[in-house]
Amino acid sequence: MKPAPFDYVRPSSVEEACRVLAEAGGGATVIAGGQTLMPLLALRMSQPFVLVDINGIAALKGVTRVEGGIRVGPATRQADALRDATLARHLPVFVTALGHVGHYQTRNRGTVGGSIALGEPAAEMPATAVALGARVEIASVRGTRTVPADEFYLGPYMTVLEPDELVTGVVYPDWPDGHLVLFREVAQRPGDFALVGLVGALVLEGGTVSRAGIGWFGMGPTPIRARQVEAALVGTALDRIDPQTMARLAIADTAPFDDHHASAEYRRTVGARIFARALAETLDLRSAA
Amino acid sequence: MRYTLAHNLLHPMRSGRSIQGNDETCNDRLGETGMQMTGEQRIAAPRRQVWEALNDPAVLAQCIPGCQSLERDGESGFLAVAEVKIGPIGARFKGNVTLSDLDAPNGYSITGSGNGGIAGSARGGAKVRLSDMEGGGTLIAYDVEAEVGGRMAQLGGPIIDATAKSLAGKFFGRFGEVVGAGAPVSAARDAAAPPEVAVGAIPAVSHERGTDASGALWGWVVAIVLALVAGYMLAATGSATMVVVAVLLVVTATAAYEAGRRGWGS
Repeated sequence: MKPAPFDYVRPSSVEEACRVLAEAGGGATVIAGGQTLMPLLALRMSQPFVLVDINGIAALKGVTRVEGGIRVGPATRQADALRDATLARHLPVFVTALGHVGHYQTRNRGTVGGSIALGEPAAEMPATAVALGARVEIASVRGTRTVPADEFYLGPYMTVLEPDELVTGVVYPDWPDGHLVLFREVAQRPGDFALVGLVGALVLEGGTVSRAGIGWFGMGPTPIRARQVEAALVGTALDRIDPQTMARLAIADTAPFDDHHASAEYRRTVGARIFARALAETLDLRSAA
Repeated sequence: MRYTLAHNLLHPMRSGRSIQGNDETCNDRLGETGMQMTGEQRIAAPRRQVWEALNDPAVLAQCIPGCQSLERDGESGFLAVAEVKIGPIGARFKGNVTLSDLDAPNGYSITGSGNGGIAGSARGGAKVRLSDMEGGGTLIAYDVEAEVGGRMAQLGGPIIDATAKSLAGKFFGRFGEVVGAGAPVSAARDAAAPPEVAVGAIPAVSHERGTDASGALWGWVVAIVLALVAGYMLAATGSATMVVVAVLLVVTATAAYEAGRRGWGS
């Protein structure tokens, strides 16, 4: 199968890319890694008039430390981010989640921003951004704006991005070095999409949880932040945490649905179980160390 | 994980079978996905005005998300072209819509079907009821049932549902703006420009709409040429035939404008 004809533009700056997007008036699609878009083009399920290739824009690549956080350029390859020393050292939770995105081959082309902008509800990257309280930087010819990740997603593949807007960065706030990583997903096969998954970070101070950021994927139309369990965990001493109780609170914020892969009931049941297990293991590891 | 979007579309059979080995789920995936939706929307306008707007192709074309054209087809029907987008997936649906059980100004039923080519097809209907709200305004209650088939259906019911809700939200948001803005409905109907401007913001539309625009242009070219000819004759023949020529001029210009507006010759 071949794609329908389209124009191809490879801008070298964000301004130029925004101008092309504005001129196309919504008929343009941004391509970064193309791991989702290329099959859709081949199937002619996506028929943009213009393809805007952002791989030539240096400002959209790489990982940098910024005031109060770490900024990941949206066109950074997932494979490059996995090898990045800054992320490995300061944001291990991000790296853990990233390791579950697709396969070795797809990560060589797929980008961090591509996954975030697509808004697949069962994907790791959107949920990680939501869990950690990341902010999405957006630019267009009308100006720039920054949207918190948990306000970025409106539904499956639906985001607040307007047709003329481009994601120019994702800023993850600083999490203290040594934060605990909470990650678990259930999928049919390794590398397959998750039926249920959770990702989060916990910070401990003197035997008490002082900060928590936890998100679900595959548990609703968007990635979902588990605010109730975060609130319950923060300020609670480790020896008073009951994983089962916390798990019930954790799934309280979710809105899973029935689909051809699993029922909502299955997702809730498995979600609670993997949450309890992940929490117990993560905290046990800490006390044993 | 692998992106479900491309994955579902590329391997419907494989995932359907291997996951649960269940023929029923598999059929569901390859066949049609049903969708039901009910909702209410408050509009800050009298019921009569809301009713007229709901029957006005110009208003509807402005409000239907991705609508590229909407034309009357007979007494109670419309022909429509609209682009439906789900993330990077975009499909242009062509379809016809029929209004029935017309009960002015209390409500009607809509039934229709559309074909989105390779993306699939959709058919369904909606019952729409209008009622007065306390303290002014109108409440629109709608009850939608639809079947989506083809590749788009393979995305799965939850995603179709969420998309339909989002489209309904956008439609009524815009409808509330257009109708509640205080602009008389009849004005919106007469002005050919507003819907074209609104629709022109959507990319694919400019292509579709190009024909209409050329129709309008054609009408105006005829008007100007005839007016010039008439003016030349006026100067040549003197004041005796002036009244006749003036009448001719006005009639010609009006007819040409009308031709352009209706898109004859496009």
